[in-house]
Amino acid sequence: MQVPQRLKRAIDVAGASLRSRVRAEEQRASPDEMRLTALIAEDLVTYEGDLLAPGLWAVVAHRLGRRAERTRPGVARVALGGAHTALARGVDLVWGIKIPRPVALGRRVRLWHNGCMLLDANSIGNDVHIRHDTTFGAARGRATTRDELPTIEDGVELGSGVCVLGAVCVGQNAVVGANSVVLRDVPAGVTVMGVPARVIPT
Amino acid sequence: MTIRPLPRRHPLPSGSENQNPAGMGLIDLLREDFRTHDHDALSGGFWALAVHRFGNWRMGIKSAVLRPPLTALYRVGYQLVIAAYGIDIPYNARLGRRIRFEHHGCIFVGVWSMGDDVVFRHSATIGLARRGASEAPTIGSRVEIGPGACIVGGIRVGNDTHIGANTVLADNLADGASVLGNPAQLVKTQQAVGNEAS
Repeated sequence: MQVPQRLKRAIDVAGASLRSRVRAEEQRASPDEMRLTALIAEDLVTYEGDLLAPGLWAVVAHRLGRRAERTRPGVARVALGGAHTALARGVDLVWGIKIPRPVALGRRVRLWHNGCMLLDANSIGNDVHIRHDTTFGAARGRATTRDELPTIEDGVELGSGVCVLGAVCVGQNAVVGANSVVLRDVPAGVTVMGVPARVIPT
Repeated sequence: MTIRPLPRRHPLPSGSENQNPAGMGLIDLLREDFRTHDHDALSGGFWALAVHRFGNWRMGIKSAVLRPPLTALYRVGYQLVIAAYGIDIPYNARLGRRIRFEHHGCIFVGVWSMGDDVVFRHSATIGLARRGASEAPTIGSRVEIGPGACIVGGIRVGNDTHIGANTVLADNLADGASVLGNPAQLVKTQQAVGNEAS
C-alpha cells in the first residue's frame, strides 16, 4: 500500500522531534544516570581522543569511583572501587591531580595541561574548563561537611593557578582569570580577576 | 551522547621543520643546555629541553623510514618529562639558546617564539588568553620569569625584562621593564630610577 506523501512527512517530523527530545534528555542527564561506557566515551571525545592527557585519566578514575559508590555490594563494586583507587593514586603520583571521591563532577569537564590540581569541591558542573595549578578547597583547615566547599556551576572557565576557597559559588559561564583567588560568590557570566578576585568589565 | 565541536589547537608554528637555533648541531645544543643547568643530570629543565631539541631535530630528517621511530621516541620522552617533572613544551614552540628552568612542576610553554637566556621558575605558564584564541606570546631574550607567573595572549615581551612571582601579564612589555602583580603593574627598577634622575 502506498503511504500518502503527507502522512509520511508527518511521521518523519514526529520522529525527528521525538529523537531531538531524547537527545535533549540525554544531554541533560547527570553523569550518575548515564551508562559508564557512554560517560567515558564522552570524556574521550572531550579530550580529543588524546589517551595520554593527564586530565582524561583523572576524570576516568573519578567516574569509576563514583560508579562504585552507586553499585550494590558485590564483585562489581569491589572491582570498580579497586580500579578507582589504583588509577586515582597513580594519576596523583604521576601528574599530581587529585579529585576526592565525594566531588560531584559534571560531564565534559576538561582539565588542561599537566598536574598540580587539588579539586576538592562540593560540585563541579558540566563543560567546566580547569587549568593546571588550580586549587578548590575549604577556606580554613579541613572541611567538616561538603557544604564548606566551593560549587562550580556549568560552563565556568578557570585560568591557571586559580584558588577557589570556602563555601562560594562560581556562577554559570563565569570566567576566572589566571592566578586569581576567589573568596566570594561570583555572579553568572562575569569575568573576575585578582587577589582577592574582583569583577572586571569585559 | 552529544559531540561538541572540538576546541582549536594551540596557534603555534606548524612544526613542520627543525626550529632549533640555527648554526648548532643537536649534540652541541644539548651540551650547552646541560651546562646551563649546572651539569645536573637529574634537572627537569635539562630533560625537557633535550626532548624539545630532539623533537625539532627529528623534523629535519626527511627520510620516511627514519622519521617514524624518532617521532615515537620523541613522544615517549615528551610524556615522561610531563609525568616526571611537569614541564610541557610542545616541540613546535620556537625556543632560543641557554634557556634555564630553575625549578620544575606545572610549567606550560605555549610560546610562539622565545629568545636566548630566559630563566623559568616553577608554575610559570605561557599560553593563550582564552580558549580558542589565535595568538600566543612572543618573548625576547634575557627575560626572568618568576614562579607562578602567567604570560598570556598575543603579546610581545621585550628583552631584559623581569616578570615577578604570580604576575599575570596580558599586555606588551617594553625592553628593560619589570612588572609585578595581578593584573601586572610596572615596577620602578634601579635602572629606571637612575634614568629619571639623570
